[in-house]
Amino acid sequence: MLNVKNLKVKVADNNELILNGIDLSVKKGEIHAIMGPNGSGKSTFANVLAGKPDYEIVEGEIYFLSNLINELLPDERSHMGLFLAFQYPSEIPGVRSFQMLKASIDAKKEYYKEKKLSVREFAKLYDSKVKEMGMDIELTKRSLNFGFSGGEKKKNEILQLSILDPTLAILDETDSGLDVDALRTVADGVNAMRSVERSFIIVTHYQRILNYIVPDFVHVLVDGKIVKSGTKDLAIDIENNGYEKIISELGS
Amino acid sequence: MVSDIILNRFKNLYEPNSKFDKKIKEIKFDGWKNFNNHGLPPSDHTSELWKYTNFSKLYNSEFSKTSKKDLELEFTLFDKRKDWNTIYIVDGFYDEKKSIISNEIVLENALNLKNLKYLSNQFGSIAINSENEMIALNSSLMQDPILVSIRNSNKINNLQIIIVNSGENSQSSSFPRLFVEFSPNTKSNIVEMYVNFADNTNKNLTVPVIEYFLREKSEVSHKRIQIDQGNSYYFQFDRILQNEESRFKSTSFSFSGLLSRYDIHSDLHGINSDCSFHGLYITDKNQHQENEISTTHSVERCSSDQMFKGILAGKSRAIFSGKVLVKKNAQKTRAFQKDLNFLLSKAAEVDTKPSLEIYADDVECSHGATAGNIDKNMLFYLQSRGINKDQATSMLIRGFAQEIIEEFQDELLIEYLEKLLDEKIPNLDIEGIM
Repeated sequence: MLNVKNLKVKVADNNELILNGIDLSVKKGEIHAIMGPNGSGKSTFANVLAGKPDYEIVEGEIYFLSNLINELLPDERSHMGLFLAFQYPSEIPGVRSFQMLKASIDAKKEYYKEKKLSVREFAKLYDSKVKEMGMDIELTKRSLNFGFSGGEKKKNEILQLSILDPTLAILDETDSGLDVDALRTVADGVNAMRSVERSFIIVTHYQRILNYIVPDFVHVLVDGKIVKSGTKDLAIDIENNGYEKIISELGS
Repeated sequence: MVSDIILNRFKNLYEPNSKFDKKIKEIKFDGWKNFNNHGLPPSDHTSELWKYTNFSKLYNSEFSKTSKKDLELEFTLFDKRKDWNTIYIVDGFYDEKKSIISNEIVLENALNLKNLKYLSNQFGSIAINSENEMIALNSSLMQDPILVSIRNSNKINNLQIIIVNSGENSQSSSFPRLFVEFSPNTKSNIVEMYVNFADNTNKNLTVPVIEYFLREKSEVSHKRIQIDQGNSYYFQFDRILQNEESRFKSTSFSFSGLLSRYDIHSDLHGINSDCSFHGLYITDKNQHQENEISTTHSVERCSSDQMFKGILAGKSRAIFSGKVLVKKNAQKTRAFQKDLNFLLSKAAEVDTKPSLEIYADDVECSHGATAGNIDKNMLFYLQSRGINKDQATSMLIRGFAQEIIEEFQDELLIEYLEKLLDEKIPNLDIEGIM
């Protein structure tokens, strides 16, 4: 599914590396958690996978479904089945969730030269997913993410995830700023999407979300490098002892 | 000193012996006197009122007279609304044949005032000749002034005012002039639209002046659309006088021509009155659009708000000059001002100057202005959802405009404007920013 080899990344106008040689292999149906202290490069990694233009790949390769995607645009990656749930979803004035997702689906259909959904067909799909997520239909009539609470924004990301139906979903700190109820709703949404065909990368600072979405693998990112990998027990260890223990082990 | 050459040029258009009503003839004469003293506005940035306007092109142009004509013009948009009162002013002349006026409103022209004779004292007192050169020019050269009174307070009165440049004469000039009275307790929808049929080679001059006189407790929802695909000079002045507890809510859309100015002012003259001016301007290529938006709080307990948005592409230039004057007695005033701009090309320029001039001490006022490019994070967000950069850019521009479009609260106009934006936005010249 995803193969990242020796990935080194910097921002355009600064020579300091933010990602310093990441290797990661995600197979079909697997859930990987990427954990790490603040400033370790977790969110950068998520954004680089999705193709954010602010970053420059200095070295290394990203293969998605056996294609080298280093140079692909974010929209092309999306068409291939890659999805990023944002840590801070943008508020977009005058653009509604329905309208944006219809444009997304249309663009994908066009890319694969398939027949587009009619407005009616799409509305049916959309309404059923909104209902599944237990979202207030009034929110979907507003400008995207405008006046949404933190929890509503994250739910809206998961709504988009479920409609766009990707093969690889990257969740960038989706748990931050959520209360227990919202976290459970979001996790239920993600768990409902689990399948042998779909993989997840869950980027998080805390172990909490991993109680709800149980990962197959946990990786710890420090200073732009994966320094330790393990199973869900690693996350519990971090929860109990903090990142300090792992960092001090590195030093010794 | 006013240049003789310019005066002589406009002298050819001036008819001193018009058969207008006596009072209106006086306004005309007074306008000409003012114009003789001041001429066209200066082009050397010395006038604060016309600081950014390049009049030099206008100095070198010679404009021809128009005449009353019977033309078969297509107005598919407005012909759909047979149940609306509709005033067509074609090349400065009221087109009686085409216009639709129900017996619920009174319309008379200045040649033959009867029932509206009492309004001739108010005519020229809301848009004042001495205020600025172009209003004086309109008064001097107005071809066919129209007076209207809206009186039915039992239903919503709908009136469309369509200002047309037929494009029949090249370099033509027209000076539409209206005075509209709203009787106490009336509620009205006013649609003002400018339509230019002239082709790109035909540089005409249009200077409409409309005086709105709101009597106590009258409410006006004013929707204005200016679409100028041509290459013309357009200066529009809306002047409003508001009495006690009146409301004037205006939404405007300008897709400007070569040189155009939208100039609206309301004098909040009766307590508890309220006025809002919202608008959207879009400029492209070498277009120049000025928005002179001003409100005077003359008495206490009134509120006003100004909210304009600009989208600039190509080498175009726009100006937002918002003014709120709060006079000494106007306590408990609430006034808000905002101008937001989207700059889509490096060569485009906006000059935005919101200003508050406050002489009262118990007021609540705020103002602000911004100018920015496409937000990179928003763009990435849409792209990550599979929408390509061009389409995402169009969506962001369209979204920015949408807020104002929805304020039109008029299905036909919204549908028309949305279609227009869907056509125009992807074709704006936005090279060089990303």
